[in-house]
Amino acid sequence: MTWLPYAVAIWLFVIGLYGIVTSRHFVHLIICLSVVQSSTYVLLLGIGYRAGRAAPVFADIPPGTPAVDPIVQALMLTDVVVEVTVTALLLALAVQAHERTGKLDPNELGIIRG
Amino acid sequence: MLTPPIPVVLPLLIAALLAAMPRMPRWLAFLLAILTTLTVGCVAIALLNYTREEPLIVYWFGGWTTRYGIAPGIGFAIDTAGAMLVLLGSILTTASLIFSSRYFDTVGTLYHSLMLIFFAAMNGFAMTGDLFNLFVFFELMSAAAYALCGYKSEEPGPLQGALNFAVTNTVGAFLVLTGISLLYSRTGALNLAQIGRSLQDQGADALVVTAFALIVCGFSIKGALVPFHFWLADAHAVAPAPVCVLFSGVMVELGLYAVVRVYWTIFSGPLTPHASEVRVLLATLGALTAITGAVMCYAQRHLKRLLAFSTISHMGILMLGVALLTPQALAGVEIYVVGHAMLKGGLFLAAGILLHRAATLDEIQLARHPRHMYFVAVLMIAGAAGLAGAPPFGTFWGDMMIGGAAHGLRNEWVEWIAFAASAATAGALFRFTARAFFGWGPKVELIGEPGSKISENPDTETGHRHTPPAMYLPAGALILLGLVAGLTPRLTGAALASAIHVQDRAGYAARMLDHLAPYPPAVEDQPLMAGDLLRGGAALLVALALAGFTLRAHRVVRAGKLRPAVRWLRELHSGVIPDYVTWVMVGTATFAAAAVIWLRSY
Repeated sequence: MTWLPYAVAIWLFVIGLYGIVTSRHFVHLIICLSVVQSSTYVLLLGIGYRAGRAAPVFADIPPGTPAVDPIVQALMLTDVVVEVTVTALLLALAVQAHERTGKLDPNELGIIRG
Repeated sequence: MLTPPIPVVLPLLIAALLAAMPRMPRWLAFLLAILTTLTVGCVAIALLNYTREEPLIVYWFGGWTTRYGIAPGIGFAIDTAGAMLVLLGSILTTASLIFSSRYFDTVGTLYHSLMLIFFAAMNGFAMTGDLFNLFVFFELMSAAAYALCGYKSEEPGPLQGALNFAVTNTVGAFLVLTGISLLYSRTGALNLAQIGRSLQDQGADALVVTAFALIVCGFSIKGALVPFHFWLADAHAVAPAPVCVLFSGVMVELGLYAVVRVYWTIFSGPLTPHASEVRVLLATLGALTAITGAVMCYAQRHLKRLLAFSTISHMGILMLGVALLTPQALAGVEIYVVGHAMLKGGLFLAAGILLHRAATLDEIQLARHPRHMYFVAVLMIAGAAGLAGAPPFGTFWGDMMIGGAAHGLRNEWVEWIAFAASAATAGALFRFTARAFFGWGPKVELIGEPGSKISENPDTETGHRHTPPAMYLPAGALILLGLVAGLTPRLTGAALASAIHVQDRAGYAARMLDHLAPYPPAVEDQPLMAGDLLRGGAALLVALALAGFTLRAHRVVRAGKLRPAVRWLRELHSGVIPDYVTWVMVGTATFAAAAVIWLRSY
């Protein structure tokens, strides 16, 4: 079963990008970006997972107990924080774009080209 | 030694302070921000000075140093190149803040705050020795940049530019992060030196090569290499001029810096047997970028967009220099980055002054009522001459060393592409200056000329009568620095020494992990040849000829039989995010496939 998280990660990455490429709505597009992002969560957690090991919290288990890799979990949390910032900023920009132009379709903004 | 964290920590603290005090008087906010960047500049000079004795300054946060060659903590590793980038960022941010103090009619402390966060993140990016830390600073830098790009959020143009910028670069960040995850899964390490050391004895298998492709492509989005470059022109066209200075001068170059750093600390080991294939792959990216950027630059009539495509073209030249993989070429790249940053910064500030006075940056509108602003015109001409690589600008020395390395490898075509690209971008700038400031050439018929379509309101209300000294002094100073950079004594030798250290993977690892410090080698200056001077002069003449040739026509640009090709190329730059992301996917898939086929050892 070790390949499953990697297959899921690849699937999420590809389907998220497909969503972005075919998107007709900014909110949809930004959520698709979050889908791509979640593929990196799955990948990171999949890398750190070891079958049958404990969670890396040594409050109630003796030190030295085999545990899953805590570093990737810390990386994933950092990743979440970073992504929330970017998503919030993107959504704010999308809201603002809708207020100013009345459009939410990334194909129709068309202010800059050439 | 407590100095290394200052360039990151100090601006972040002041940024928080400024964000918490929105009612601070405008002059005080600018004074605080400028003092911060000046302090960091002094720290950068101190660090730079120190790297002459100790080529890699290592600083471990919280005192978590290495044991038995394993790095449990996060460390900064500052070499001459990194310290130079911090200094460069300090100079450009200071100039940009001084300019901003009179440029905007209204500006809140949020602007200063964002500028300082952006600045801090760029410094951290240039100094870190940890792969994940690199990613975090990359994201922090990007987030601040998106917000700065869309700073004039009441207009649709900046919003579209910021959205294009943000979505494409976020996809790039995910590519990088996926690459980092793959490397961690193989090595269990995040420290650059430690990853490099654990990979050096193994060949490159599919996983390492895929990680290489993902990281290079991800950072190439920030570095605006074709076909990952689309966001750059959109972002630059609409971002405020003082922000463009930082985008073009440092941020984009940092994308390339990351490729360089990661290649020579990690991948140069496992990819040693395939150096010539790596060279072909990277040089292809560089050549495509230099040519596309030059053609698109020549075809623009909006000044900031024209300068943006010139940046893309020059990034291509820089990538060609990196792709040669020799210390001499990399030294050329380092000098070129500094020279280009000063000139491009000065040119964007000149564009800001023009917008401030004339309320438009459109070549044709300006040509109808040419502005006789001779100081700005002189800046533009000097900047264009510098972009052409005329001696003695900093770019000339960079060109010379990249060209010399290309000769040594019997890859003279690199030199020719760099020559053509710099002449074309400078020619476009000469043409713009002649029309907009002097009204030269016949009146252009606009029929059938699509032109770059940008609706832009000036950052100020209407045209102003006067330009305050706080605006033209930084612009002039930056162009002058671009000239002075080329007159620095022992320039080529110092750059060569720095490049040798950047490419010394074993030395980097020994300094970072084992605290060993072999004595840095002494390096001679590269002698100046008459042929190099001739080439710099020739590029300038070709640029002038190109401008003259176009000015005689009744069209914005003259493309002759190439017109359909140019039009097709322009239509690719559609301003639509789904198109851009498609290009990112195509580019990454192609690069990764080529890498896996060519670079895999087994």
